Amino acid sequence: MSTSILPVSPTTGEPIATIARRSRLGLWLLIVADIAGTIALVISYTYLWSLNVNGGWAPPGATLTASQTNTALPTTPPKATFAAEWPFWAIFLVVVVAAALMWFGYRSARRGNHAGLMVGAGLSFLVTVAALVFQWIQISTFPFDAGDGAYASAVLLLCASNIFHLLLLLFLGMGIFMRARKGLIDKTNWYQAQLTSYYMTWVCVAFLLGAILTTFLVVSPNTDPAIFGTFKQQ
Amino acid sequence: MGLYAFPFYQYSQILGLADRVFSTSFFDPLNGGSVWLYENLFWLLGHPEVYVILIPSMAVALELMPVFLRKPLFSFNFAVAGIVGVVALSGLVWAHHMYMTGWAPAANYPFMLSTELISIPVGFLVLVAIGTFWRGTAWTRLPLMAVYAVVFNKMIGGVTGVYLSDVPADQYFHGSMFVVAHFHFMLMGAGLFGAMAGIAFYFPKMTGRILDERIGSIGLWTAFIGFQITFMSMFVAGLQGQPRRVLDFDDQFNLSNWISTIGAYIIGIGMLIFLAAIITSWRSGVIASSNPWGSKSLEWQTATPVPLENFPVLPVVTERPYDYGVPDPYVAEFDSMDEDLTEKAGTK
Ligand SMILES: [Cu+2]
Repeated sequence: MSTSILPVSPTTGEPIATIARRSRLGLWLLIVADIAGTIALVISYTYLWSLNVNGGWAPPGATLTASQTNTALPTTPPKATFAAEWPFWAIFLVVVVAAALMWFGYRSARRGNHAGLMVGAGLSFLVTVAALVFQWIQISTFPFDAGDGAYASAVLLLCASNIFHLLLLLFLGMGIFMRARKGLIDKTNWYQAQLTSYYMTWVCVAFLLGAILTTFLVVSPNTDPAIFGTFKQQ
Repeated sequence: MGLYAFPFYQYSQILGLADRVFSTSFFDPLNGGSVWLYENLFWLLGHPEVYVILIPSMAVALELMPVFLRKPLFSFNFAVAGIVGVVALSGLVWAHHMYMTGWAPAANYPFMLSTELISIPVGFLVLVAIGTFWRGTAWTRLPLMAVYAVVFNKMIGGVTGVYLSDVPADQYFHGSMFVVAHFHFMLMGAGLFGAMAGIAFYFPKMTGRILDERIGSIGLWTAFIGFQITFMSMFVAGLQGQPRRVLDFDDQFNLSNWISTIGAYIIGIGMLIFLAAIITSWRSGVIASSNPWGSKSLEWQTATPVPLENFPVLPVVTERPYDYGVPDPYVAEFDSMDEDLTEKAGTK
C-alpha cells in the first residue's frame, strides 16, 4: 500500500498508464495467438466430424448394439461411446463463475475497495482450482480411450486445451491474489487485474466453443463416408 | 502474422505427437482421421510464413532505399498498405498448396482468386521500391547493391508465383522443380539478399566499423550470379517436367541439374566471401563515423557505439526521417496521400 499510491511504476519508474498500454497490447497479441490455436482445434474437430473417414468418427460402441462385435478394431472395448454433454457445460459455468469473480475483484480495486479485490481474486483462484478438478474428473471418466476413433481424439484434445487454459488461469489468479495481498493492486494501479479479467473472459469463450461442439456436433452427418485402405502390412 | 499463423502449425505437430504417443487418430484414416487435416493445418502456417520471412526483408530494403537514393519513398502509404494487405490476405490463400491433392476441388478457384489478389499488395511493395529508384540520385554502396538483387529476385519470384497460383497451369507445375525454383527466388533471393542488405547497412552501427565494400560486393555478386545459375536452370528442369524430391532422376534432366549444382557451389563461394568480409571488417575494418550513410533516421544520430540510454539528452525531432531532398514536384504530384510528408518541404 505504501508505494502503490504513486502514479509511477515501482519497478521501471514509468507512468503506470504507459506500462498498462504496453501490457494491454501484449495481452491482445496473446489472445490473438490463443484464438488462432483454438480455431485450429475447432477446425480439427469439425473437419473430422464432417468427414467421418472410414466411418471412424464415432467411438465403436456408439454405433453397435450389444450383441455385435467390432471386427475392424478387435482390441477396442465395444462399450466405448460418446461422452455425456452436461459436464462440458458444468465446467464452462464454473469457469464463468471464476471469471465473474475476477471481474468483481477488478471492479472493486478500481473503486478502492481492497477487501473486495482480495475476496474476488481469492475466490476466483479457488473456483479455478475447482474447475481444474472437475476437468480432470471428466477426462478420467470418459467412456472411451484415445484410440476409439476421431471423436475421442478430438474431445480429448479439447479437454487438454481446457486444462492448459485452466493452468494458465491458476497462475494468473495466484499472481493477482498475491499482488493484491501485497497492496500492489489498488485504485491507481489496477491494470493487471483488468488484463487478467480480459483473458479469463476469452477463456470462457474457448470453453463455450468446446461445449457447443461436444453438444451440437456429435453424430457425424456423413452417413456415406469415404473408405480408405487400412495401411496394414501384409 | 507469426502470432496467428504459428498456432496452426503447432497444433498440427501436437496432433501428430498425440497420434504417435497416445494412439489418437487425427491423421490416421483407418480410425476416422484425415491427412488432409494435417495439410490444411500445415499450410495455414506455411503460406503466411513465407511473408513472415519476406516482409522484414522488404522492410529493410524500403528503409535503406531513401538513404541511398536521397529521396523519400515513392509512397510510404502504399508500402504500409502493401504490408497490411499481405498480412490480411495471407491467411486466406493456404489451399493453393493443395490444388492437386484432391482436397475440395471446388475450393480451387476461390483460392486461386485470393492468391492472385495477394499479388496486388506484394506488387505495391515492389512498385514502391521501383518508384523510389525513379529519379533517385543513387549512391550505390553495398547495401543498395543488395537491394538491387532483392528487387530483381523478387520480381522473378513474384511473376513465377502467379503461374503457380493459376490452377490450370499448376496442374503442370505442381510438384516440379519449377516450384522449388520459385520459392527459392522468394525466400532466398528476396529474403537472404535482404538480410545481406540489412547486415551491410547496420554493420557500422553494430560494430563501429564499415563492412569492407570490395570484398563484400565481390561476395554479394558472386552469390547473386551463382543464385541465378542455380535457380534459372532449376526453372528449366521444372519446365522439362522433373519432379521435385527425387534423388534418382531421368537422364534428360542431367544437364540442367548439373548447371544447378555448379551454381550452388558458386553461391557457397560467394557466401563464404561475404562471411570473410564480415569477419575481417569486424576485426580490423575501417572505423565508421556515427552516421556514415548520412541517414536522417534517429538511430544514426547517436554515437557509435550507442551509449547507455541511447541519447544523453532526449533528442528533439524536427523533421520526418525520410525527407531527403523534398520538395520534389513528382512526389507531390503523384502521391497526394503523402501531403503531410511534403508539407515539411524546404527544411531539406
Ligand atoms: Cu503459398
